Amino acid sequence: MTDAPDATCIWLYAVTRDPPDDEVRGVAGEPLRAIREAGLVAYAGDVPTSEFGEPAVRRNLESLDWLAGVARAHDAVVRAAVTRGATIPVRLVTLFTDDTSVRELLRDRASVFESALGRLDGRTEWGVKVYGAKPGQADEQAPESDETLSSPGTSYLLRRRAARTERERRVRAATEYVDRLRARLAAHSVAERLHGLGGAVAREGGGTLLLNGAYLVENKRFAEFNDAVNADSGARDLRVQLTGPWPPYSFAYVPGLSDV
Amino acid sequence: MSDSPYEARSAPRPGSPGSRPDSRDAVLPVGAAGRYPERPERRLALVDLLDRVLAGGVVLRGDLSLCIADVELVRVSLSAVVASVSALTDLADAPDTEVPPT
Repeated sequence: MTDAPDATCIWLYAVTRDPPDDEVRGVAGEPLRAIREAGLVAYAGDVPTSEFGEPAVRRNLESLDWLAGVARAHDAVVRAAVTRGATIPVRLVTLFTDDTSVRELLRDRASVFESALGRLDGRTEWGVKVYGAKPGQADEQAPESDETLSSPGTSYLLRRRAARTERERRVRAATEYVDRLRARLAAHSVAERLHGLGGAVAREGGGTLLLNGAYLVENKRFAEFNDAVNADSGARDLRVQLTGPWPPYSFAYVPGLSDV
Repeated sequence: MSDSPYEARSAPRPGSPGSRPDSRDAVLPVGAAGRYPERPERRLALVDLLDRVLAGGVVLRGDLSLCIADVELVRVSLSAVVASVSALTDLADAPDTEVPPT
């Protein structure tokens, strides 16, 4: 790596079979290039090392604004590729020094890339999330006990017991709802991948995140999948959210490539 | 595309205008852009996007990214996401695109 102010490195976006659209721009606003080898096309952009190379990129990743902008720009390029044909998205921050090493990669793993593209052809990723009740909601809605027949102390204990029973009922109902939903989605998709429920993501939206799934769906069967998302009225206090269409980020795992 | 499956359904095709609220803005050159005005639904969509671009996508060992191990990339970026949690929870009651099961 050189320290020259105008030095660039290669940012990789996607592996596909079709060359990029001239109008699409990359994470640095740069025009995209096609690096071709073995019938495959890598979407690549020349980005300034001063911002995207080491060590700058490591520092920049600490900034949510920078990360958000780069993620959206990367995503826009991948989406542009998806509209032209089957596409393997490449993980954010995949950098190369020169075209030769990208070509070597495409050539050495051509058959693996091809089979992955075949698996993704005509299919789209959709996200399905289920949120539980917001914290405290269950308690507030606990059934009233009969105040006239009990002392204040007994009444309090009865209310607490009723609230606990109600909470347990809700947890059981929610678990069963998610199980039924996943079974329906499995019947109308070719693969499922569960994203994390913990940490920051779980608190988004104020309710507990009960399901955060990604589904690879045949485009021709999307209507049935969509029906399956909304088919169950069994749990009124849960919210279901369908997100997408997504490029197949969650299904881009290619056996044998992770060690390249 | 020889196979044009997107016509078979009513949902917007990936990458088309209006397919997602933030897809249009995403082509902005971000190197110098710095800050975007974030609508609540965009903040929420960002979490979904980061889930995917940081933990999904094919992992290729670029000759430059050898020193940015996957785990470290996720860890580093997670700290940025966690920093925005308070902003996200403040938006808990903001209108969003969720649909209750009917």
